[in-house]
Amino acid sequence: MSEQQRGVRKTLWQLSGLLVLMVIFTIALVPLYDVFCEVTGLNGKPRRVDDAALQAALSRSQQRPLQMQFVTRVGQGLPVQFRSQQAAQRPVVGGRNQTHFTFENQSDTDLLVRTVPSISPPEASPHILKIECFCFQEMVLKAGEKKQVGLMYLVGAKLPDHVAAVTLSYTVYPVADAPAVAEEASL
Amino acid sequence: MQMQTEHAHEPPRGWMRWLLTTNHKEIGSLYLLFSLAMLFVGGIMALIIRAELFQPGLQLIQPEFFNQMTTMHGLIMVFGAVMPAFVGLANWMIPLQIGAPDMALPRLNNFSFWLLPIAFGLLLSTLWMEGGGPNFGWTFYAPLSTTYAPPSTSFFILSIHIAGISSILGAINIIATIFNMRTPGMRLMDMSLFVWTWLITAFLLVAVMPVLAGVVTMMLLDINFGTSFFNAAGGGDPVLFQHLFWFFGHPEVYIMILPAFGIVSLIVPTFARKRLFGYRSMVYATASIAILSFTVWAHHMFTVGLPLAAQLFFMYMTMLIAVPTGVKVFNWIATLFRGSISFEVPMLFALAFIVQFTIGGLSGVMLAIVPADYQYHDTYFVVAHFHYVLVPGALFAIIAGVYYWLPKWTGFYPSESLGKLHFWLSVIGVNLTFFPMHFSGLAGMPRRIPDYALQFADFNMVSSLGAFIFGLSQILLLIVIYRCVKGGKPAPAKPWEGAEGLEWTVPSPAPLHTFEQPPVFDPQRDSPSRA
Repeated sequence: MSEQQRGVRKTLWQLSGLLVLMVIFTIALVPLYDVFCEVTGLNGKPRRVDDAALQAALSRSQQRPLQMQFVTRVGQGLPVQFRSQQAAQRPVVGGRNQTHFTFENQSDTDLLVRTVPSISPPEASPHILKIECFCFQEMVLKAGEKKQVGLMYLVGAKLPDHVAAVTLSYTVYPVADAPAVAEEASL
Repeated sequence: MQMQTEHAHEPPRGWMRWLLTTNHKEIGSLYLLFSLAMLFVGGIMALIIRAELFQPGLQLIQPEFFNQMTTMHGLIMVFGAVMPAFVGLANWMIPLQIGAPDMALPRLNNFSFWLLPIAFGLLLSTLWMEGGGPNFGWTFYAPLSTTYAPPSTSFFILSIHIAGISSILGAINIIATIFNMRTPGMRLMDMSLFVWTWLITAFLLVAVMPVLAGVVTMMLLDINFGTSFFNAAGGGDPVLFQHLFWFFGHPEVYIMILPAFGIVSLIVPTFARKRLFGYRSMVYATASIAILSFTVWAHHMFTVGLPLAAQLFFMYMTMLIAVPTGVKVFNWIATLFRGSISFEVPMLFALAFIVQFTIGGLSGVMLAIVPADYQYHDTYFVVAHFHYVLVPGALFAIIAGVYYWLPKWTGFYPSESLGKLHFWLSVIGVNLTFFPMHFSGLAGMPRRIPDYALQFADFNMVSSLGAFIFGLSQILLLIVIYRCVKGGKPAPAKPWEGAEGLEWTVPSPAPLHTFEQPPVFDPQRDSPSRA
């Protein structure tokens, strides 16, 4: 093997290494993006709640003119009516707040649905902590069933002062292979 | 001895010779011919688009087909015309410019070319499938392309995969050639700028093509295997698609322009009969552009709801790219300054490149301004901008390179009078087509629509007329190339008086095998960076 061939072979190995690195990097971007969004609260992705966060949020209760708005949307073609009990409320900052939502399955088949939350503005999302939410799990809606579900959340005391209104939006989607899973769940 | 007996074998005859060739010049020609064919296929699609937009209202085609045309036009021009043309020029000229007998991996070279007809045959075949071909724009944003797209989308994904593998293999081959096959004595800083820009482009390709492959694979999984990478219903994120796509997409636009910089950096000194001004700064500017290109992707996404800090970051980084690009433009102008300029056809195309690419660059700086971009986003202003950098930018540089090296390839000069006619018709046509798009875009005309409001009618009519002038004048390019292959004024080894570089030391036409003995290279005398 000539020196040139050895050089070509070495370059090939190095470039293959770079190629593999880039493939790994691309795959890693997906979880990294989720982590990045969760840490920064970008894209309105709500943060997971742990005890420390709860304590920090509860540290001092205060009254300030904050408006919490609720938006409900129904995903493509889902025969569900999804309503918020209140369009908006004035929450206690640094304390617990509660509201209700109603789902109504208007079809004559059972449905398995999932509700995906989003918070706007993004900078508020690290400070809205949900203690109890129907969005944590998939939900079975029986044919014609009307269901009331509760939401309990905290508004963290460290919410920046210039945030005057926060929108909490929920979109209800069908779970992909709904009929089969719904059958299983109803057993 | 072993080598000599192998060379004594007769090459296969007929089409098998082209199927099995491992010769860099033949593969280069195949790439260039393939890209020429794709230029006309994509061009016909563009003319269908412009014919429909000649007047407001729907006259010729249905909106569904219009969407397929805009999508296919973009995909074919980007992946089928511009990129293979540069790879073809690289195959032909890099070994000749660095004094190598061939590419480092000749059989891989054959493979990477023959993947392309397969990829684009597959892509074009989707037009005849049920539900039609891809219709979601060349950027194939998910979930549009995963949820609402025709069933042929999986074939589109496969064709992108194949074309991507071809690009990666081609890039690896080019890097291996440049790093290991330079003639003794030639340092990296002695290489021609075309070789330099291609070296950097090849690294960009190796870095971002896997990202593209990853994105389309995730799409494939979302479509066929029930995953939810880009589907909000399943916990995925549509915006993630745009981040991933443009992390590939923005370096991709530099992949399509850096080799053009290289070609122009050879042609301008040749016909100004001066050495290139600022060789080193050209190399560093190219490298800076390549590095910065990884930090600007979100300027395509200013309106998705990025936080202010991200918008500012991407705005400043984008504007920063104007600095090394400006260095290049000023270096070309400084090269022209007080030169003995003559205006042969390659020089005309190169000069038109400098002027018109700069127009495209300036509208790019306008688009980089976040608040302004909210107005321009998804309008014809964007269409005008990227066509100015791609058509009178990248494509003109390719055509300039073809006119410049045709004497070396065929042994004959291309027709000067037909070439000049081709040039002037192209310049007039291209500007009539794309300049009015700035105005219709600023007035608010959205992209990717088959019909438009009445107030845009005049601008669109001018654009359509220009498009037909430009499109039809490319037939002249075919005639020039055909006649130049067949005969004409015989060209000497160095057909252009002011040309420099090893490629001009071999006879014209270049014999099938060159530099089997490495040529003598004296950096003091031959380097473009010599003092």
